[in-house]
Amino acid sequence: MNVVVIGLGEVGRYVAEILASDKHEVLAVDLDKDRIDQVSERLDVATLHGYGANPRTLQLAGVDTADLVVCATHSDEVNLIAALASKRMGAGRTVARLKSGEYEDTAPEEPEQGVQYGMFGIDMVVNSHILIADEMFDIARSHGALDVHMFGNNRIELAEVKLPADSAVLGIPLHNLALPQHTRVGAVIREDKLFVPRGDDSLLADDRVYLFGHTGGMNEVEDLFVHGNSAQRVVIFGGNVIGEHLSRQLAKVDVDVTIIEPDKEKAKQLAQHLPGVNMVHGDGTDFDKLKEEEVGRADLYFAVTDDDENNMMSALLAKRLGTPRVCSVVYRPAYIEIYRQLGLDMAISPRQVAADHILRYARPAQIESLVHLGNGEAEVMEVVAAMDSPITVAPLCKLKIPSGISIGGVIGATGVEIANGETRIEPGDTVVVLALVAKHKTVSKLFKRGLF
Amino acid sequence: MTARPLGLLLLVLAGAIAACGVLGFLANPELGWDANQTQEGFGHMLTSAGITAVAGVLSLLASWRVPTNIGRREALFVVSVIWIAMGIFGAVPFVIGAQMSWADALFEAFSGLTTTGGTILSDIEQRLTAPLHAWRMATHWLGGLGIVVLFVALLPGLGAGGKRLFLSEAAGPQTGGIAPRIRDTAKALLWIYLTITCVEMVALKLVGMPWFDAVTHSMSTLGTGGFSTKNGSIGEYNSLGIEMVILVFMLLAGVNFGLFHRAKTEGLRVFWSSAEFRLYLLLFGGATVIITTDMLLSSTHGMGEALRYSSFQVAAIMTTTGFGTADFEEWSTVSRMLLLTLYFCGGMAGSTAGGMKLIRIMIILKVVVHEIKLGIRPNLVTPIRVGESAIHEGIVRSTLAYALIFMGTVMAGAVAVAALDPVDITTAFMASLACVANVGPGLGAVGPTDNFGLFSDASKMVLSFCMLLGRLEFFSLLSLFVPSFWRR
Repeated sequence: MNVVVIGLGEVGRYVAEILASDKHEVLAVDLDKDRIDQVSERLDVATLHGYGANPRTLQLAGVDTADLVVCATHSDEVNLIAALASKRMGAGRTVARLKSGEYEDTAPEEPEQGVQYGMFGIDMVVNSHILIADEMFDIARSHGALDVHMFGNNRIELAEVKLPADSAVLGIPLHNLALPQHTRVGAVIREDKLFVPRGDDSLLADDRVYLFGHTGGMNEVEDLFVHGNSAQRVVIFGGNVIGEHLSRQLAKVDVDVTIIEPDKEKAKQLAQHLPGVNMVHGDGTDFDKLKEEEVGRADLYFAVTDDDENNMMSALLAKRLGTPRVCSVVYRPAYIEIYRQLGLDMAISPRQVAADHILRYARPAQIESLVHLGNGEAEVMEVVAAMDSPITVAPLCKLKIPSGISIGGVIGATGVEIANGETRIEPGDTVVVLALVAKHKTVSKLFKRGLF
Repeated sequence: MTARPLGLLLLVLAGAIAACGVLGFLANPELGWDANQTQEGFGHMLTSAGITAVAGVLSLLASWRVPTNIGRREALFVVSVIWIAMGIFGAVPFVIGAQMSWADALFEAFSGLTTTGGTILSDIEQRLTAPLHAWRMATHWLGGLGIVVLFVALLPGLGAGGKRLFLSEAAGPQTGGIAPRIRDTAKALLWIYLTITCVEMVALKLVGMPWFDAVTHSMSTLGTGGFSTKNGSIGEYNSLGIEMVILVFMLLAGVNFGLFHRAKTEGLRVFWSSAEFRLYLLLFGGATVIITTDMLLSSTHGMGEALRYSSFQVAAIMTTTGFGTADFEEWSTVSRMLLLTLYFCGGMAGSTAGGMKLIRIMIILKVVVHEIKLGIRPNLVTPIRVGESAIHEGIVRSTLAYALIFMGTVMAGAVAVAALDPVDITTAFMASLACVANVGPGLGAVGPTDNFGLFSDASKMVLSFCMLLGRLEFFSLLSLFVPSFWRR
């Protein structure tokens, strides 16, 4: 596949790296010469120095013959224009990354007017802020999950929970554990190492566990592992696009939401658009202010401003005030590990979310990696089982599935099923698989036509 | 970390040595040489291939399960080590097959792999068996495009490491950029190289060369090497047809291979639109006309002969091939000075030719003009341009540094040779220049009819190192000698 990536920020660089390692031909465009040099040194991609929305640059980049154009500069307008121009010049598919919510803000009676519905012929828009708001909403609705991902058109859910010291499931081998029907333990992170557990493994306190289940049925499962409730009182630090979307969704389901926004004018303006949300002017890194707002009594605290350091400090303060669950946005991926060390388990990176989304769309292969878990050691993919493939010959308990691979759920003709020992995968089923990245080839062998 | 690429390359080398053995063996009936000798030579080649293969396997075993992550530093190291190892194992067939001393064999192998084409043998035809002849000529072909380019083309999964390797071997102002992925670039280059070589083989056969000679001389031409299977080089055939075919293919080998690739989609005009290509043709045409005129004025030759010898010799020196049809040592001083100037030029960047490369000459000339203009208008900020494109300041700086190192190496090599052996100034200087520029024949006692056999072992080693420095364009190899390279 011929790919042109315009803009080499965190998202662009990550997308270029993954696609290049998938053996696609990637050409990267950026206006910053230093970035170009860096990328051309580190990645096996061609580079072009120029302004992304300049028609001559696009011509030179060969967008007319490109199968995919990813526009991911820091400017929404440049991305939209570059995507539009590429489409006009004959590019196969175009993706534009957006940051502001303005272009997607449609009147409820005419929803088709937003760019996200292909208004200008752009095939996909990715708004990392809105995606993050969605993911945070899922976390808020869950019973104590650290992170939530959706698969199979939102029908299968993967929730990450951290086991407290008094959890009911500790120390029992998994095959003796009385799990609710339709639940499966996919992976465990213990002391920073991710592994796929077997039947005789048992869980320990402080493990982070990934659980597969039906969307909507997860709360019951989560209750068994941790004892939480979906958040009733939420405080959000930051009145930006993320804060706005998140609060609007939460307010719809009658959650008590408070937004803390440092800029008074912005706070006032936002308050007019957000009925049912408590808008407070103040600094989220001000300990007294947080006390005053009784952040410690909230179920969930989100730090979503555009500044990593402020988010981190604010989240730590909330933790100190006793908020049980604290979640933060983190822009620089290298910080995630530091967040963990500081006891902040919930950190969501816009880069990861946007890039995962773009890659989900970009990779045409039969095996699609959708989400990376942990520090990227494991991936979750959706795979279609081929005729006569090894995975289809017997029920799962009769098959010798190599270690490091866990079958999560099956989406077949008869419906959605969370895998258990009796599950038998039929050819043509879409299977949600969790596997270590190193086992990628093994997975593709399992699902390919007869290799016995 | 170095061991794995090295091991794989040694296996490739072993395969190439064995293949040359087979080629020589098959060609024997055509050549009509002593069958017993050839059979013996064949055996020697297999022994050499075996030794190389064992070394390759050992090297691979040493790197078993060691992850290959080639960073910038590693790339420089790997490329240098690979070239040195190739020279050493490339010399094994000469030691076993022709009972040469190690110094002689190493000189011959490095001369072959760096596509220099200077030899220490005086009677090649008698001294070497057919398989060894094939190997000697094949080293040109292997080294011409670059061993590492072959490696990157053949091996999957190197990723950005492959790019670093590629650039460490072929540093220069205009490299890469054929395809987004470095492996595709390497493959495209290899494909062009292979195609032109095969076309030349057929063309040479059509103008009357035996198959063995056609195959070996094609490899020698495309690598811009200059080894021949004949004592009298190309002149020994005394055939206008052969000379013309080789002349054309020498010129082709000196053209930037990227242009061939682009011509496939964009048509022939890409050649003319390249300023470097225009200079290349201008230099070739200009030098040929001047030398022809000079010959006519001194009335040593007729018009046809003068044109024939001068054009061939100009192309042979300019593309750093070094084939000979005429003893240019007997030419007038003007003609010889002109040829001497061409030693420095070389072919185009991105070709298999050695020398400084024309693009660098152009940049340096532009810098000189720029400096003169600055004297008149000190506030001028126009960048240096070659053709349409502005040249980045960093490239200008590295080009100037390159020119300085080039001259420095030539002088240092000449001084070292003069210190080690009792030779005159012309010989010392030209031997060093011919080696650094990868041309082959020089002037004085190393002229087109002479060889490098007169030097002591120490001088041969010095000159081998000069050839390698010239081929790797100095920086990669020299970085190993900077202390900070080894500091972690």
